[in-house]
Amino acid sequence: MTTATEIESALRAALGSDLIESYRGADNRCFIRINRNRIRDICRILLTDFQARLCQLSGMDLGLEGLDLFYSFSLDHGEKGLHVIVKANLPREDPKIDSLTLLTESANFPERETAELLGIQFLDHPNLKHFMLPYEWPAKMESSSRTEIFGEEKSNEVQQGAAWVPLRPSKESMLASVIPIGPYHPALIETAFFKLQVDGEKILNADMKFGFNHRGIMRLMQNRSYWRDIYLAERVCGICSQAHSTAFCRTAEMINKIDIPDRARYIRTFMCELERLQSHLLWLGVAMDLIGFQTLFMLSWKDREIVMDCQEMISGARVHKAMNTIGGARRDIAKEIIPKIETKITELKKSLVTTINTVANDSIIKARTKDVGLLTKNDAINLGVVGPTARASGVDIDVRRDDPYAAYGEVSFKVITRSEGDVLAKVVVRLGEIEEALGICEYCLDVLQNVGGSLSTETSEFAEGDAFGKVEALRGELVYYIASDGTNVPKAVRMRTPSFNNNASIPYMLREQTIADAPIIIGSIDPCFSCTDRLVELEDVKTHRRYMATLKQLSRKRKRL
Amino acid sequence: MSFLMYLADFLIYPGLVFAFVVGWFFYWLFRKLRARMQYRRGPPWFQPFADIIKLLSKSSIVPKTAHRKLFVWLAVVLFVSIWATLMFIPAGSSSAPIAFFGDLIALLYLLLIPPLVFVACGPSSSSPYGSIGSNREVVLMLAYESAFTIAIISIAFMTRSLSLSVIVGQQSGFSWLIFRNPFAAAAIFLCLVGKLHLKPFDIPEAEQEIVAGTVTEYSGKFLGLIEISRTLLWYIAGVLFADLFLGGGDGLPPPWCVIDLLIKASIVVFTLTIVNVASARYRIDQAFTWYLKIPIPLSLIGLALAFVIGG
Amino acid sequence: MPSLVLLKEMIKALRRCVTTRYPFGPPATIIHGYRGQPEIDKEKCTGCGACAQACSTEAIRMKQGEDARIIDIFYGKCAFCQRCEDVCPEDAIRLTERFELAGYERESLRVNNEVRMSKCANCGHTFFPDKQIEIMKKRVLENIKADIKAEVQVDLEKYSRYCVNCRRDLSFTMDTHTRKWY
Repeated sequence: MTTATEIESALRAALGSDLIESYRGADNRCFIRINRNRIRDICRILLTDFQARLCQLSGMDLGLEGLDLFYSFSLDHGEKGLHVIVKANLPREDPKIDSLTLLTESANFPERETAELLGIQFLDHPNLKHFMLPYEWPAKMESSSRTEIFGEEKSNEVQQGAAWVPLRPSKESMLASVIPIGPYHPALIETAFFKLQVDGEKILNADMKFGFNHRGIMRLMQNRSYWRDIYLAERVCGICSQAHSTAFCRTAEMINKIDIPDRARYIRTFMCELERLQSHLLWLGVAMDLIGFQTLFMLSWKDREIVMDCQEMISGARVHKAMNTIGGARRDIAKEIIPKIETKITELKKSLVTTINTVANDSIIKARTKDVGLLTKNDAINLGVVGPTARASGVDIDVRRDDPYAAYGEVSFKVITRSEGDVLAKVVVRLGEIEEALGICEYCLDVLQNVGGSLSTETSEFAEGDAFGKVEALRGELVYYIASDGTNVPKAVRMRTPSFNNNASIPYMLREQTIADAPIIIGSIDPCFSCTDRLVELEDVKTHRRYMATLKQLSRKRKRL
Repeated sequence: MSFLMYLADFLIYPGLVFAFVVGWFFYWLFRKLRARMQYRRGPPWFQPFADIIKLLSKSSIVPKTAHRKLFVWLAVVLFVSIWATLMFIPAGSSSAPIAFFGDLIALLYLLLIPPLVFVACGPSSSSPYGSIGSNREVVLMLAYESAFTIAIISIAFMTRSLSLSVIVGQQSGFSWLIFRNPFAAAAIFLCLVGKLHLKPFDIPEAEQEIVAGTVTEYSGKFLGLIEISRTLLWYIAGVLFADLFLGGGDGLPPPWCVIDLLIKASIVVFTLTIVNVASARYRIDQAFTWYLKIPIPLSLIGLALAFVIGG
Repeated sequence: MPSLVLLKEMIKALRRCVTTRYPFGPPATIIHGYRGQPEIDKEKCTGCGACAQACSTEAIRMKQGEDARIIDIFYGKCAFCQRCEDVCPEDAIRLTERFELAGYERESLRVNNEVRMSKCANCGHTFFPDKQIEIMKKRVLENIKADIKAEVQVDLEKYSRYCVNCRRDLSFTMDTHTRKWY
């Protein structure tokens, strides 16, 4: 098992004086600051020698001190909670750094997002297009680096001299028609744009665009105190609100390195699992609706109502539960309510038997989901997908087991994995997680009836420093990075939601499938586009001209040179 | 005098008004039962009518790139062809307003027109969803029309007649054709599921995949006409099955024959609803292979049975 | 083909509905502790403004008028997070269980509480809300040591009518200066 000291010494040996400083954070996090020229070397060492996984790539604008990038690598398959966060500082006049996309595909989207956020040029990135902003956003800004990065007006063309060879469009694809899914489409609950190039029913290529629900949450968080930010974090996404709030609170607590009381830990675990139940039931309904099974959609949402009633009983609201505060829980689960919740959980178990039985035995569901939308294990690891999407392809990662938070270290549960990687595997994984969640909920309720104590540790000041916290949100690993400057307003908050990584797998899964399967394939990763679109607004905004851009279709196959 | 009678038949009974009211009832029954089986309440009795009135009162938009003449006239052709079909179907009484030897074949041809019009609607509206929808409609039509035709031929063989009115007359006294040739009945029932675009075969109008399929770009008055046609199609499906296999009006004196027929047709609608509610949607290639595996063999067995039993 | 379990469920569903005819049917059952519309108890509110500072969406604002302080809640922005109830020192603001807040005009969503301010008896400027002075007097007298309580009470009556500056200027004249305690 690799320990933090081993990794640090290995990196120090490899980098020598380019490793400028290193310090430890709470929960086994290693922070390392390096010279920006060595980023590829350090990434290569971490990815190949230590089998790390790139979690998050983002940055902050420190004003006169330049632009500060950080790369978070997760090594928690080794020691629990081990993460290496690599920081690099770029001067404002020369914001260039090597791109990591050729080493790992999971750096593709984050680099595009950071490039448009901070104006950083990632050298040798194969496809540096705008990610959140529209493709036609004017590239001519005050800073010359933006023009350099995104080119002149036609910012949807490939950067010259890139190490990527576009395939010539074949005659077949020239005659193909294009089916748009979105931004307004009955298949999508939230806005996203998928452009499918089809030949009859078969999909040849898929392109996608996000950023329609961009609300500027991370920027808003930098203006408000930590306690008000909890509620803002909660509202990034309605379905995963408890996950966001727990992640924010966990990260803020890690800045001060405080421990939260036992009762609060079990309350947090219980609420997270309750939310997992309602989210997976929601997803089951939506997935069934996408293959046309309206009845099962209604039935599984009827079961979900039982969970929503529980949430309303405990926290006073169905969706935004506001149970967390920095230092613990804000609201207690009263002893009189616990028997009522236990009754409801039993009712839910009984009612779920029909739903799960039907899903398992129905021949049409099997016909529509088996061997549809395959994501191989190699692709899954390379793209950095997380959560049930990864577990259905055989990648065994789960934050609750690898980096325990709240009470997950003391609760026993199974991590469900499957190796097929198709839509049916994802259904089975999520159904298994529903069962496990019910078990965890019952255990937590038992504990909560006996354990007493205070609800939260008083926190009123924040030390200077930064912290990197993770939770297992409903769609995968949700990552928060908070930098604090000692005041009660955070200096920077950066989140990476699981849907951000999972969305990258859509084009890979859509190739060689039919249009009929496109909605269920997109739906099988449980996309939460509200979670994906939460970037900061850019600082210089000019009036953008409106003109018809012809979005040329580019083939997504890449050749690594 | 006979011209006025003919006009009354054409417009009122069993023409447009009767068929529309009964179709409205069947469509409402379908929606209400579907809702109730899903723990929901369902629409009030006037919902289908309210939908059509709303659509007819809205402005109709024709896309700029659509073939304007085709786009507009296809909706009209659909409506008129279904209206014409109504005259061939006996509704309670033993004979339809238009009955002659061979009217079964004419009915078969007339019933081919609605799907063909749907197929033409898609490309005429120049919408990508429309073209994918027509694609699917053609494949589905190929699938179910074969089984439908073979089953109809087996019925004609069994009753030794090519006139629907004679077929209805032959079933008097509870010697319903569904008992004599259940295979043909099963085949035609399964084809009706495809014809009415009910799950698992509502592929051409798959909402989650291609918005509304062939009729995506239709709005306002044209969509109103298409909805009226759909309501009339529900009438035709229920009453046709009741006439062919359940004895039609049973030769009772009016108005009991009409009530009798409506009860039978409602049972058909109820069964169609159950099949719709309990199924997901197939993919078009899976639907085609399914039709090859079950309804077509069933209809062939029905044909063989008709040969063996004779008439 | 459809499974038997599903068919049984569908037949069972024919007997009852889980949806109600809202708003025409039976009224919605609200569970105790529901976070609904925040309401200010005008008797208890002292106009301190803690709720305005804590409000996570700035739905509660404190406006300083000539002789009244206005605590203004705009329900259009309220996120029903209950922070105001958590921080209020007087338990004056409470989240009720009402959730049907829709209205036809924006102004129907605005509620305010006016708290009268006291004017300084010496210079005439407004300084503190009336109620806050009352509560301050009450709390000090409840918690002060018994042996000095009587004298403090006399002093309180004297200087609670003056603003901070005048209090400082007149502290020797009124003999309320803290030097007498040393």
